[in-house]
Order: sequence, then structure tokens, then C-alpha cells
Amino acid sequence: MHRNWKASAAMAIALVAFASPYAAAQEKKAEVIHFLTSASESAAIGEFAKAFAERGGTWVDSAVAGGSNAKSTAINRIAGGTPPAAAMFNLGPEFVELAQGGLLRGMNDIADANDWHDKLPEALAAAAQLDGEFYVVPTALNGQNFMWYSKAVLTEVGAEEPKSWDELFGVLDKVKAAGKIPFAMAGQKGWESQLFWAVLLGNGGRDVYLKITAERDLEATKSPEFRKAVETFLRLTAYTDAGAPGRNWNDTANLVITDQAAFMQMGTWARGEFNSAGEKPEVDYGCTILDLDQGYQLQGGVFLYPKLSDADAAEAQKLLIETMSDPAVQAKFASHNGSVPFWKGADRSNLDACVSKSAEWATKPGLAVASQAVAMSPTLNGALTDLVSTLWNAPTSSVDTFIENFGAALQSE
Amino acid sequence: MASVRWRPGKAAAALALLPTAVVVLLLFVGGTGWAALVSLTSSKMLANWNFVGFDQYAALFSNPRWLKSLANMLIFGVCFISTSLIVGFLLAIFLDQRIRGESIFRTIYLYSYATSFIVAGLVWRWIFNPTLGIQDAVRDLGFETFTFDWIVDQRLAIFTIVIAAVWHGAGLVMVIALAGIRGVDAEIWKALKVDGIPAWRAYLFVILPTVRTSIVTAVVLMMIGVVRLYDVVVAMTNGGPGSATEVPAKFIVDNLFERQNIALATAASTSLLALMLCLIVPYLIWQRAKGRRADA
Amino acid sequence: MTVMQGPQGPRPQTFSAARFGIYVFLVVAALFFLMPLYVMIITSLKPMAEIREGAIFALPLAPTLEPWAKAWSSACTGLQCDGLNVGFMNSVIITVPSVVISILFGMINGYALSLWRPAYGNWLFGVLMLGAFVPVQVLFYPLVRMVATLGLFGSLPGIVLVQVIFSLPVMTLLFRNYYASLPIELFKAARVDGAGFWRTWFAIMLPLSGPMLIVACILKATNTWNDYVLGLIFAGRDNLPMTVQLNNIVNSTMGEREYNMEMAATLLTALVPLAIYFVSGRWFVRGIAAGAVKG
Repeated sequence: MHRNWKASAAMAIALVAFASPYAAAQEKKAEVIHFLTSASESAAIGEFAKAFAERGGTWVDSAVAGGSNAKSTAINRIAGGTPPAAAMFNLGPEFVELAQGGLLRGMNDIADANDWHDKLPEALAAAAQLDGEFYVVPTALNGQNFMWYSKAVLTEVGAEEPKSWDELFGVLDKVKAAGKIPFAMAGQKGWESQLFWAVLLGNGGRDVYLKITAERDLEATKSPEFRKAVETFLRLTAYTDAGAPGRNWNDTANLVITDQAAFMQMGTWARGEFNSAGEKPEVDYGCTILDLDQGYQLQGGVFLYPKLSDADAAEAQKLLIETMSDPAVQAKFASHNGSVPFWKGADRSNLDACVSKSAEWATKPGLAVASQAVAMSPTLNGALTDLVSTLWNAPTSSVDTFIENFGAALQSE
Repeated sequence: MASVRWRPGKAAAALALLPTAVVVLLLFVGGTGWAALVSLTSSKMLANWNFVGFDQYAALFSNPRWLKSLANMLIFGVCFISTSLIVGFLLAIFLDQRIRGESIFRTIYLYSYATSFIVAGLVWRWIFNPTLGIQDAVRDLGFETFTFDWIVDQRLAIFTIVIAAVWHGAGLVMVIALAGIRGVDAEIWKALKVDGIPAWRAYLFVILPTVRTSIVTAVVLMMIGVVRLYDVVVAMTNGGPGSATEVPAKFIVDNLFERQNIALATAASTSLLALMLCLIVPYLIWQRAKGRRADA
Repeated sequence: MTVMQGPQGPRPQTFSAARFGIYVFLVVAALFFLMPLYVMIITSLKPMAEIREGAIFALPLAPTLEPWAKAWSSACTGLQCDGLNVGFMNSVIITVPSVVISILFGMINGYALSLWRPAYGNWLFGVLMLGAFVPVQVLFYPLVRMVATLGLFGSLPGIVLVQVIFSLPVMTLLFRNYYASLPIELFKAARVDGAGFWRTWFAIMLPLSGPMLIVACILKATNTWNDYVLGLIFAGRDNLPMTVQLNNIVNSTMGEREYNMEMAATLLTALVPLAIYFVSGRWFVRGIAAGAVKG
């Protein structure tokens, strides 16, 4: 008996050892590279993993904090011959070169079967395609040109929520007189640029914004509307505090949370910081878009799917794409990190006040515009960001020189 | 005469160096050659072979951010290397004076080298921030008009980077210096005592020249650090305010990854390499001359 | 021959003004060096509500060890919420072979270059040093292709290979200078006896390498332990070092920040190099003391 037991154990082990490669092949494994690493972001992407597991897949997570870190990891993996099943990029032209290089899996087969053209807002569907073929699945959508404010401070100075950039200055003056920080600024290049484009859209107008971002029209930079927007942008520098340069946006949001500052311009992801501090929308803090009728700046994350050579892996990838583009699953994702559930028919009943405003405006026909990062290449955006940041940090420098340089940069790409 | 006997040994040496030579050839020469080629194209995210001549270099040297980066590298380099040398050597000389608790002091000065800058930089950012850090703390103590807001000042921000970098690297210079000093021959110390030379003279005119080559190695290591300076800047100011603390390595990495403009990035790194060539070649010629003198 | 202790003979402990000045300088310097550590420690012991108040130098009112526990075992680094301990062993198995192999190559290279001076030696050294000035990210694409061709991309041998390659310049520099500073008579004597390249190294130079070995070991171990970008790209998913987890915990573009946990995580990551310094601190100094870095 004793000897038989050992023999059978040995056989069992041998069988398992031989069988496991086959077992692994049956498992539908898909590796996903992404940059959602904070607590709420992890919860959000966890919904995809859960849904994938329910459909029989195994989600292999490769989170890399920092967008450019994650993207360069993905690109290097593709170059090194071991591409992941999915990689997170940003909405916009980033995927184009990869698609043109034949490195991505086209998804028209799934798109047609699941009717993406009908379910996606037109602007998004257009941004997700190249030459009529779908290459990315839009996932985490955010509104970029939001304004957040402390209800307590506004009540204290007796002011109403401003509706436009011009109206804003009246309130800022009142806050300044009361001794609080009128405009809390996260003094880093990206956020300074973000503020500029929000002002350009709202204060300069939708028309000039689109001419510049979509058409690269040099004449638009010479228009009076553009100049007005630049001057409004510079006017804001008088209302910031000394600690603004270099400050993280989270620390900046903190000033609004602790009622030391009145306003902050930030995208809808700011909601996460307010939430984790226990504040309630419309009670402790308010959210709005100034000059809303001019537009809602849309930006966000997408997932692209590199071509895989292994047949089993490709099958798992197909299942993954179907899972991640399922409107119900996407809605669950959005519920955690406050992004917009944009697929037609997505359940919007459980959203808090700010997210549901965001969702409503994002899907209102004709309101959403592509943010500058979606409409223009990272190179062009970077060049313009450098110019804007230099201007913000030297507010007395010449507006004419800035406009000239801006136009030149716009033409160079 | 001597060379004849050395031949088989030299062959073995050449062979032993072969793996390194292969790596150098393939990667350092081949890789930088590839990069130089890419810098002549219009590549964006991936390399394409659409040659555009020196367009990228023209764009590079008319880019104010790149020019500022080079200027910052020079300012940073001079300040960082000189300050670290002085601080490191002073600490080493003082520690050499039979101090109580020498090990504790030495560990304190060294530990910063162990800390990665991903978060150390954030802490320095807080410390320098006028509303959160030192300025705020001193004002709270009653000195209402005290200002220390270098990090938000375009002209002075680079010096905050110098301070954080010295914090990080001076400890290393200190141990190199300390060891060099401790390695000085006992005979020399005896002679100094007999001659009755005061301590400061002894250090300045006798000891330091003896450890001259420790200084050189420390300087070379620091120069490498200056050219590759990236983590400190990203963690502390991310190049800001505006472009006040931009440095070449950050310019290169930003264009490689975030801006997806690899042609411009490789143009920048090739330019930087050319600059280094101008500095390294004299050093090597000097080394070669020294070597020949040692042989003779 | 070489003295570890500095000036010899009994020195009267006169508490002169000069001595007082020296202590003052050392203490002030120590305060400067300790300041960030102090902020890191107290921040790591505060609950987030206190941190939001913004007083970075204030001692915690309600100290808590929760951020430390969280950083080690439950911080979210993506989907996985197991903290830093996941990457700890990976960092170890990357660092140990990298250090051993890098130093081996550094020693042999330094020995060959300084004492044997083969024909192409100077050129090799020159190009090698020049290579040290190139930002590693520029070389990524060609290196990825090369490593992938060898079939090592995304594996442990792959990341060790990459670590060794990038450390060749500095390691070679250190040992080349060290061997050149040793008395040449030893070397010549060995060769008169007829010993060739390898024998001379093994029998004579290697035993003398002790001091510099420790120095190089500490430098390389610290750099490899704290390396982020090479590990991220070349180590492959299963071997990601602790720094990748650290970066994931700390570096979120759009998410909320938990500063107390980030501080705890950084201090935890720094413990290993710190322990190495503490343990071998004396050897470190003595190491260079034996003329290691002298010319």
C-alpha cells in the first residue's frame, strides 16, 4: 500500500506537470498595460478584470504609473516582440503611427457585430478610427475645462456661481478682498496649458478654438478673439498665491477643500480628491464650466490592441475587446473613477451631481469638442505647452511675441 | 625589449577585453550611430527613414527650451561640482580629526545617497515651497518678512536643484575624500608634526595635492551625474517654473516618450555627445601622457 | 605602509575654539542632511487629515503606523493591492547577480587596461567613458532589439545583462585607477616569474582588490536597487523590481495622493541600501583608504 501510494502520487504529479502547459493554453490569458494606479482608478480597472474573469478569461495586470512610462513600456514591448494583449493610451492621434505600421489589430469585425457606430457619440467614433477601421476602444472619458469651487468661500463673500470667465473676475476680486486665495493654481506646465485652452474655448470662443486645434489656421491666432483670450489668461495670474509654481494639483485641490481658496480649474478627475476628503458635491464644493455654451472639452484614455501572433492569445484578446467595449462593463468602470459613461444606453442614474453634469454635457449633441491633446499631436502640443508655460510664468512679457511664436509653432507641425 | 616579453600577456588582455569591446561596438557605437541617423529623419513615435538633413538640429538650436537646458547644465554643473567638492572635503577633513561619534556622522552624511529621488524630490519640493516649507516655518516663528522662495523664482530655481543634488551626492564625495586622506602615508604625517606646520597649512598644501587623483575621480563621477541629471529635476520642479530648470537629459527623455518626437530627441543627445567629446578628449590625452610617463 | 587612522600619537584633547567650531560645523551639516528624512518620517506617521493642514515640520498629533503597514502589504499598485513586498524578492534577485557580474567585468577590464595596455586599450576606454554620458533612454530601442534577438527580452537574464552593460563604464574606471595606483613592482615581479595574464590576476591582483571591491559593491548595489527605468522595460512582468511598485504607488497623474503611505513606501525601499552602508560603512572608508581611488 505504502509503495503504491508513492507511485500513484508520482504519476499524478507527472500527469499534472505534463497537462499544465495544455491547461494554461486553455486559460484565456490577456496582459493589459495601463496607468490607472490610484485607489479609485484601480477599483475602476478592476471592473474590467472581473468581467473578463466572468467570461472565462484571465486578466494579467501590468500597471505602470505615469502615462508616458506606460506608453513607452508598451511601445518597447511591441518592438521587443512580446506585445501585451492591450495597452492604454490617450484619446487622440497617438495610435496612428502604430496603426500605420501595421502593429495594431483592427476591430471592425467586433465593431460591426456590436454596432459601435450607433452606440458611440460621433466625435468619439471618428477619433477611434483610421481610414475607416476601428483601432481603439474609448474608455475613460473626462471633461477637461471644469471649474471647481468652495461653497463656503463663495457664501462667505456673498457671491453666486459665475457663468462666464468675464463674470469670474468680479467674484475673484471679492475673494481677494476677503483675504482668501481667489484662484488656486497647480503651477506645472501641463495644467498651465490646460488652463490656457479652457480660457481660449470659453472666453475666445468655440469658433477660434476649432480653427486653431482642428485646422491649424494661422489667421485665427491673429484674430481679436485670440488676443482677448490671451489677455484674460494673463489676468488670472494676479489672483494666484505665492506657492503655486510647482505645486501638485492634489495639493492645489486641497486648498479648495480646506476652504483656503475659492476656485480651481481642473478636469473631472479632481472629483476623486474631493471625494477622498469626504466632501459632497453641491454641498461642500461646486463644479461648473464657464461659458458652457462654447463647449465641453473632451479627453480621455483609450485601449489599443497590438497584433498577436499566437492563436490562443489572439482568441483571448478578442474576448478581452468584447468585454472592455461592453457598455454595461464600461459603466461600472466609470462609476469608480468619475469618468463619463458615454455609450448609448449606459445607466446614468447612480452618478453624483458633478459626474452626471459631466455626462449630460459630454453627450449633448454639438457641445463636446476635442481637447487640444485629442486634436493635435503630442509634439505640437508639447511645443505650444512650452510657450504657454513660459508666458504664464513671465506675465509681463509681450503678448505680441507670444502670439507670433504661437503661430509659428502651429505652422511647424 | 620589454614589449617582446609582454606579447602573449597582451594578447590575453586583448582577449579578456573582447566582450566589453563587443558591447561597446554594438551598443555604444552602434546605438549612438543609430540615434545619430534617426536625428536626420522626421521620425515621431517610431523610427522612419524619411531623411530631412539637418532640419532637426536647426529646430533644436532655435528652441529656447533646449538653449535654456544647456545653460542650466553649465550653471548646475559648476555649482554642484564645486559645492560638493568643498562640502565633501570639509566634512572629510573635519571627520578626520578624531571626532566622537564619527560613524554616526558618516552614516548621516551618506544615507541620502541611498534614498531614491522619486519621493525625496517631493519632500524637497515641499521644503522649498514658500507656503508649506521653510519660509512658512520661519515666518511662523515670528520673522514676518523672511523670504525663501527660490523655487518659484525663474532665476533662482536652479539653485534649489543644486542644493538638493548636493544633499544627495556630497556624502559620496566625503567618503572618497576621507579615504584618500586616511590613505596618506604615516611618514608624511610624522614629517608634518616634526616640522610643526599648522593643521590647515598641512591639509591645504600637502595632503590635498597627495589625494589629487581622488579628486579627479570624484569629479569625473560627478560630471557623469551632471550630464545625466534627470530624476532630481523631475521630482522637484519638473523643469519649472516655466522652463527655468529644464536640463538636457529631461529634454531628451520628454521628446523620446511624452512628446513622441524621437528625431528631435536623438538630435539633442547627439549634440550633447559632441559636446562631451570636446571635454573627454583632452582628459584622455592627459591620461595617455601620464601613462607614458609611468612607463618610462 | 598605509595607515587607517590618520595622524599618529596621542593628541591632547584640548577643547579649543577650533574644535568647538568643527563640532558646530558637523552638527549643522548633519541637520541639513537629516531635514528631509525628518519630514519623511513624521509625514509617514500622520493621518491624511493632518497632512492636508499643510504644516510639514509639525510633529504628528495622532501618530499612526497604518501607512507603513499599508505600504508594505496593501497599497494598490494597479490591480494588485499587495503593497511593496511583491517586488522585494525581485529586487534582490536582480541586484545580486548584477553586482557580482558587473564587478567581475570591471575588475578584469580595469586590470587589463591599466597593467597590460593592449593595443586598442586606450580607444576602448575612451569610447566606453563617452558611453557613460549618453542617457540610457536614447539607447533603448536598439538595445531592446538586440536583447530580443538574443531571446532574453523581458526575462531575468535580460535585465541582469542590461544592468551589467550600463555599469561597464564606471566599474572599469574605478578598477583601472585602483590597479594603476598599486605598486608596479608586485606586478612586474609576478611576470618575471613567468605568470601570464590570468595567473597574475588570480594570484596577485585579486587578493589585493579587497578594498575597491567593497566600494564598487556598495555603489553598484545602491544604483541597481534604486533603478527604475531599466527594470521597467527589460525585466519582464514577472521580475519587476520594488521601484516599479514604488513608482506606481507614488506617481499617479490623475488619481488622489496618499502622501503618508508614499513616504513610508520610500523609507521602506531605502532600508536595504541603508543597511548595506551601515554594515559596511567602516570597510567603505577603509576600502578607499588603501589607495583605491588614487589615480
